[in-house]
Amino acid sequence: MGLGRMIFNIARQQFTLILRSKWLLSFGFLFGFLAIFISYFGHSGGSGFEGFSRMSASLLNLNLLLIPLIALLVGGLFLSGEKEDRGLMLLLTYPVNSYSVIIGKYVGLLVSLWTVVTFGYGAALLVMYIAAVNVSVGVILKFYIFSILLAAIFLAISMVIGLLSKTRFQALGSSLIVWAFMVLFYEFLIMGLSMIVPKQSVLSLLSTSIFLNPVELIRVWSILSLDGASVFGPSLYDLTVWANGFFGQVLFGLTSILWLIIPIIISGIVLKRRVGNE
Amino acid sequence: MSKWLELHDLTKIYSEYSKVENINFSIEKGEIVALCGGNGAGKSTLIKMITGILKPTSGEIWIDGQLANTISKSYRNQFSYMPDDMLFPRQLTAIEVLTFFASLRNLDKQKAEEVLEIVGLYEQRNQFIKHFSKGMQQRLSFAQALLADTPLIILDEPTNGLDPYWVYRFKEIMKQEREKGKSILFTTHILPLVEEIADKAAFIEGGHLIHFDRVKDLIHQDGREVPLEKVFFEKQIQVTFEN
Repeated sequence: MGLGRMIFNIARQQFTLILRSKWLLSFGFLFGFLAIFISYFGHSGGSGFEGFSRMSASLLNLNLLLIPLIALLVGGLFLSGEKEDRGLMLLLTYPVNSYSVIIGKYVGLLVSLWTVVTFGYGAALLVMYIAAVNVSVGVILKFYIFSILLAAIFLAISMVIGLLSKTRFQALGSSLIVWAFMVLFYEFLIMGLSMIVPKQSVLSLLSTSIFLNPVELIRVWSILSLDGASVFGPSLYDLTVWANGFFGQVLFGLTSILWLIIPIIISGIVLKRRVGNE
Repeated sequence: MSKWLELHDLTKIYSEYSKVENINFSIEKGEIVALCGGNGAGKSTLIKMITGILKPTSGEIWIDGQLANTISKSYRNQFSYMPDDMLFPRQLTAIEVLTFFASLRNLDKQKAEEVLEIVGLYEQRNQFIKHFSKGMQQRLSFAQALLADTPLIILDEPTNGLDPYWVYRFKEIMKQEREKGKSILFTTHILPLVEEIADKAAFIEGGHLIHFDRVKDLIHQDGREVPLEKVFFEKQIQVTFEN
């Protein structure tokens, strides 16, 4: 059987599995409700919909909080669960390549998350259209694309967590720790470090820190793409000019690809070495 | 008969107290071999090494006269495997599970339906696994191992959770597969089952192969027939005193 067909079969199986689990549906409704709520009520204050407004900031925070959490939980729990139930072990006794297993499962999970995010943004757009709210489709579309990218990156990270965890419970704990570190504590850590390092190194530290955490990467990239560079203040003006330039954009793109590919490669290695060896 | 699967000094060491050491035995074509031993004897570890799930610390597996690469696709096409206590996804139906595994071996839905018929689950093929009893799940796992026409079938504790009728049916199916020329390796601690269907038995204790012989030679001693259970306990005691 061709590699593509094999990946398709595994992805379809994974998609069916996750689609029938109730909690993804619950997340879909929660995400949809919050997206509608923020998009509809977030425009009060009259800062407009074209640029980086209160609505944009709220929508960005929703994405950065909720999407990494759900992606980590979905990937981590499904993979560790399959390990615990011996399904993954059985799969590896079949004449399948371990990377086709990883990619197949990844694609299946990503398509399910993509469905949820599309449902959320689609519902938000529909409600605003019905309510005749003047909203920029471009802004929503940008958020939609960044949301998918964020889900794709955290899903790749979740594959490593799921494969390294021996049980669902361990995967749950590890996912929450990774989420808390990346989403909640990382910025405090960087702020703390910026107090310690020499003043001339602060800009380098801040610039580097953006690329070392996908949450910050998507946060900064989203804000810049929505012409919201002013929110960074005058002290980071040089950084925003550079980041908005060609090299900055290429670096954002390349780093995102690396955040996607490296965890997938690690997952393949872990799958080969650890399944059954525990 | 010729040796088809050979294990040479197969060893897996987790720690000083947890290891399977220097396992040597062979399986011939069209032969049923039972791997017997108590809980934690090392049966499942050995099975996992043979199926390529576990990488042996040392030793070799030969298949049909050639050194096997246990992670290669060609090796995995030589056997099908039924894990111990397999839990299939509860959100899928029996036919969905089997059609998926069939697709990985280029087999169609019809083949999946055929094996469901063999294990008596055809009528329940569209039922979700969450409604299956332990025995039904075990039969589904058995059906999964029967899907492919591989020369070797490896079964880890296949009769766990089966009712007496399905233990009987399992024995019949095993004999039919042997008549087709397939080799079967299964683990169990139910020794009367071994007496009934196995051609050879390998006794494992504390990670070591303590005896490997034809079942009929094991149970016929000094012109009288003794239960295999008695033979096994005697071997166990003998090994304990030797150590």
